Amino acid sequence: MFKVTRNFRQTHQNYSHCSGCSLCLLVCPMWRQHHDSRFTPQGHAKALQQAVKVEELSETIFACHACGACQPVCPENIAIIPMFMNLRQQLAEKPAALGNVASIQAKWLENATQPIEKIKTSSGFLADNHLRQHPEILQQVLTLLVKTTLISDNGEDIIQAMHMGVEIPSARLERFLHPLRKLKQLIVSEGFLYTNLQQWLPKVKIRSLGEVLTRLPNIHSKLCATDLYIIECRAYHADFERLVKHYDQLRKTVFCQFNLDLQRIAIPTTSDNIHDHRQAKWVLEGRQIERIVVESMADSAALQQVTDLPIVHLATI
Amino acid sequence: MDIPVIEIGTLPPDPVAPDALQGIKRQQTNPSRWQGENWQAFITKLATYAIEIRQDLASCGIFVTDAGGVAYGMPHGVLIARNVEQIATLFKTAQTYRIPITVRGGGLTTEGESVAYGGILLDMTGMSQVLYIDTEKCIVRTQAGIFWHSLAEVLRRRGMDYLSAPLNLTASVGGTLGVGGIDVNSARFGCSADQAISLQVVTPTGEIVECSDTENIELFKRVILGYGQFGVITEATLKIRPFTPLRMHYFYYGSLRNTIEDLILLDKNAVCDYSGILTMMDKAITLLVAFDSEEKEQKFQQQWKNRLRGYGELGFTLRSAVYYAFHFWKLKEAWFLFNRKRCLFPELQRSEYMQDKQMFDRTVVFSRAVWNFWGGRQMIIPDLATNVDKFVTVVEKANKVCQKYFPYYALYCVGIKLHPEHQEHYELSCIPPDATELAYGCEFEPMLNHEIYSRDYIQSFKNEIYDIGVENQCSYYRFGGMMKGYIRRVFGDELVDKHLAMKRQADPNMILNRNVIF
Repeated sequence: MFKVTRNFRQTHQNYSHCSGCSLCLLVCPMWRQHHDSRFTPQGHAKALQQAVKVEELSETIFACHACGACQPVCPENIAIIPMFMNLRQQLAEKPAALGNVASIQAKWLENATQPIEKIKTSSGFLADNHLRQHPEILQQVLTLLVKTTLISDNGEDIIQAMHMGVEIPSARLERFLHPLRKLKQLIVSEGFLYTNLQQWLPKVKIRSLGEVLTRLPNIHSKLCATDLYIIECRAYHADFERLVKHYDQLRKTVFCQFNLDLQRIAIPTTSDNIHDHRQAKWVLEGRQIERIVVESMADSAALQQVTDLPIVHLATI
Repeated sequence: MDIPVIEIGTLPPDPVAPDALQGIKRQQTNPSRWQGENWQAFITKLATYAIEIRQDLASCGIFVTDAGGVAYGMPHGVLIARNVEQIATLFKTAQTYRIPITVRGGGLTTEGESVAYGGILLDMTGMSQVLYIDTEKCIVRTQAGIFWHSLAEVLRRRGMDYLSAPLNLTASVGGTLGVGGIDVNSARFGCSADQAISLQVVTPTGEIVECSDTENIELFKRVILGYGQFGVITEATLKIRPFTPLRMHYFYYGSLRNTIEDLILLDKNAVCDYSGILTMMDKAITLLVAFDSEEKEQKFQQQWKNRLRGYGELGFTLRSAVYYAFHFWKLKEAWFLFNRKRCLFPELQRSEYMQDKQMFDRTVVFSRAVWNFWGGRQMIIPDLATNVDKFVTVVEKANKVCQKYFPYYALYCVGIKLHPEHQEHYELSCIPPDATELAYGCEFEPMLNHEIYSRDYIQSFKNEIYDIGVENQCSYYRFGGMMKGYIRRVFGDELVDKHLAMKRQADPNMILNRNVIF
């Protein structure tokens, strides 16, 4: 069976290195929602340092939304998201709200009978389910991404399994990765697998949809100072040191606002509770804007709950 | 040395002898653990008020140490502060059952002041809402458990900023007002505690009181810079100002004395808006000078810049290269400086925080640097605060102590403007009693670099620094917790007894932050 963190960078530290600096609290949507340290990366790391059993953390370890905001700010460079995913794997009982383990396993069986996809271009695009629910926007994205193939197997079951802490059969992972290995560039609309893809496909350049589109002159020129630009936070945090410079350059040329905090961390629009709109409200608080531009349709859905301002996908501006 | 077991409420005048730290007895550093008398009855009583105390290891284990990482204590239970009534009920009940309560914000103490050796740990970060902002009057009302950085995030959406706050993102407002709070603009504005206009306080007996310079004046005097002895700050009204980025200038020195003299020159003449000293080594010292406005910056460049004895980056690099060429046996030192410069300088000038040579979000930039280049699982930061006249001499003496104990360390020096109207706030605080108009503080931080030092070694180092303070009649920012043995030596019995009497009156069972000062 495949281990989620098997290939994670060796330079990353584990929970025992947490010094309790609390910097992760400042960016954690779970902290904003609960104001309770137990829900934060620091809370979990400190509990593990006290040899608390994983069963005693079951209330909190599934609350993490895996936005990855904590990762770039951790001065000890602790591999926080893999810490959560591994804890989830250790728990035998999974919360029903996250999905059904049996249905994921059934998908894997079904997937095993499908022919492996052949990609004819050197660039591939992994569109998440939120984007696939909007075929006209997806089509517009594909028009902009010239010579790029939409990959039919988007690995959504793998993401769901990782969220739930279900081990992924190596055969399923191999079927997912095999066609991607021949690519030169893989574009992702949602960044949950971003770090893993970098590890699994070391010869392939992994890029976020937002980065690729904002490098297109006809997209870049249509952004304006009265826009609030919502960066898809998982990809951004997974490739923070590179992307913080990209978006900073964009800000300096376009002058639009971003969903960035003072540490230049992307504020997620959601937390674990879809009925809790505090994150989305905080993203918008005090902004003088006329339009919201999103990279991810999931962010669009979250923001629609709290504003009447026009919300457009980056590909359609 | 035998430390007698002392019941709460029967505290003798001073449980720590004036010279208690001489000989560095280990049992002196961590206070004895409270043994849990009446605990179950207390918990049962609180449950009748629907106040839930968490006693599980996952909840308590988060708070076993502070930023210092040396003190260790496990609370019996944790209460996350949610509202002022809950805290008032907690204190009333705790007085009845004689349960010690340790209050914690960001937990950035270094001497165990926010570590609970049994009893209740009151986690104030649960009260972190900004209540209102008045941009015209330039004030904010906020719950006091909020981190300064979170406050800044809210203020910045309105184009505002706080006046001064510690260069550490996770210091809490309440905790800072209780001890001081030093920023690189403290020479202009004073310490963070001086920015408080009024406070809502829960007293140790559970009363909810609003206090300020005009209302409940005595309580205000005692709570500001009171090291958490006279009440829990639950809300604060603070002065704020419109946000401005910083126009930064760095000057590099080879002499500590010259740098300090230049810093004092700038501060005394109110030449700049921000100033401070940060060393890489005592041969490579940075004087930071910054401005809010272009006019002030130009005036500095025309009238003052040439009077400073520091070099620019290139000039200092060349000077150092020549020095080490003729002192080749100090190659290791040169290599350290080279690497330090290579890593640190880009971090202080990251493009996302700089625009048109102006620095945005100084606290983020400096706090990141602090945690990445100085911070770690142990933070050892003894400090000294003096009046202007003694500062150079005291820092030079303490620098020699640092040289003796550690190969690499950093000094961080800033001026602190004193507000005459707050003179009574400053009593028994980090502000030295003989300072007028300006005081100076210096932190001495060894770079541990994953080296393992024994606790006794570290304690010896801190004691030697603090002994200089005693000799020179200084004060300290961090004189509580494990260093409280110095309080009587520095301030004298009369003043300490006066405050102890006030404490006993305010907190009959001595339950609030009981091991911190008295």
